[in-house]
Amino acid sequence: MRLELGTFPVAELRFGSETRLDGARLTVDRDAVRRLVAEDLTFSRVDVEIVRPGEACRVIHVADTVEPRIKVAGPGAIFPGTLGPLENVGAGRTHRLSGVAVLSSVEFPWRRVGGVILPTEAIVDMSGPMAAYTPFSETLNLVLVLDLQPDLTDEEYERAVRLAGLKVAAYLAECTRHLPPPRVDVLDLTVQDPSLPRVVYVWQIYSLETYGGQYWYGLRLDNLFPTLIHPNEVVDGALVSGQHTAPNVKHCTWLNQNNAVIEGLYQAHGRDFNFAGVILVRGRYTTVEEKQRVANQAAKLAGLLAADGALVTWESSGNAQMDAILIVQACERAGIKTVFLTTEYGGHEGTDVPLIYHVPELDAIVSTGSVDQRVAFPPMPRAVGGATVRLRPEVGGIRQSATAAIVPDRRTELYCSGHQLGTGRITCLEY
Amino acid sequence: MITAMTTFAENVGASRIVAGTRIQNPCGHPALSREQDRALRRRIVQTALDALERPVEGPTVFRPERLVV
Repeated sequence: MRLELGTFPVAELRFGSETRLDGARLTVDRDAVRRLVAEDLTFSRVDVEIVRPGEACRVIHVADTVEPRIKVAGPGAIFPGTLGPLENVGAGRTHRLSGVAVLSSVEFPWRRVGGVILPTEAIVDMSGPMAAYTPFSETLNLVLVLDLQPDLTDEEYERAVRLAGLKVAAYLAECTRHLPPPRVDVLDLTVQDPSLPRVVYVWQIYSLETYGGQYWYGLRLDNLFPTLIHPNEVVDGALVSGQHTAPNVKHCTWLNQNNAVIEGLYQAHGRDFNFAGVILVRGRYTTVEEKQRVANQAAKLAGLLAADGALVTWESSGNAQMDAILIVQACERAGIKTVFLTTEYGGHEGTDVPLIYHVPELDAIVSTGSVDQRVAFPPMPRAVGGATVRLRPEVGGIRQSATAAIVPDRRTELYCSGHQLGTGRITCLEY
Repeated sequence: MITAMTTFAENVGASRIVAGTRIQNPCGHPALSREQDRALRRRIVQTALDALERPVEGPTVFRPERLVV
């Protein structure tokens, strides 16, 4: 599978009479986007806003985030199985608009009181002290502000919101179809240097429920058993996010599309080592036996790919870390040198235990930052997405003004701040 | 300690560990009937009570299927 990925960097985003790209300036037909999303009658109201890095504003109720991409050559279409037809992707040519993102902002209804498995508030600050905690303070964001028709099912709401972001992302990228990309990267794993060691990427995703899932060619991965995928498929949008619970530690579609591990492995491919492939697994099993079985299978698949080394990431928080650590252990025991990318706990001061589990084979760890250190959002003059934020689902929800100072109880509301894929600015330093 | 994560409990040094059903319901199972769930719960708790009477050296796992370790 040989894929040419053409990148069009975007430095300016504004509304105008037609959607077009002129150099690095993207103009968007606001009414066209609104009409496109409003075709789906799940939405009672659709607004479209722009927020830019450095602006004194925040986006609330953030659901999914998507990078605009389309396929211009080769089999299949972008976001296969959800937006595009069900056809294998990962070859030909794909265009992307970098530096710009489509954010969906929607407040899903809470239909029961209490618990933490509820779609949770998610906030992006475009400036100020909290901006650095999310990747999307650095992207030009087109925000879809969505209201939902009442009395529909959670499944209908989740699916409609997921599709809305994908539709708009594909629509924006469409204006590049006949343009020459300033940069083209060739993603081809078949060109290898046989003298180099082989490194595999073991990617744990979270998929357990309606508002907490990842989708592979449109299939929610609750029943995923460890399997092989090609990284080019992910570049072409085969892995789509439907994550709305615990948004700080989940991966939106944009993070899947811009997985820094995949990018880094491709850059090193044929130079430092050979990128041997990607193993996709689900985590957060509720018994040790199920966790161990997945770990054993992942290590076996890595062995079948003749891996000398492995990189392991995970998604979510809590006991899913144990699933991932068992994968590290199983790979090491199979003779595969394994590195673990993980957030750490450590308490507010960073002096508490950083991981929930440990095995002797876990001896190479890269930290993607603390999820425990307490932070607070300052007051912000403008909030896009609504007037109030909804906190503390576990006590039934507490509402407060979206433009006031917001003190999260834990860090749940920090959108994508605790993701494990390395795309970001957060790590931990020991001193 | 009653938990499904027995290796986890061993890792942190709990002395007497009774193997529970799942993370979210260690003392029973919601898929069972009321009577079966109650019987399973009784077995697990009885295992825990019996474990309290036994001397142990280091983290020890007790499994409810075998009421005598």
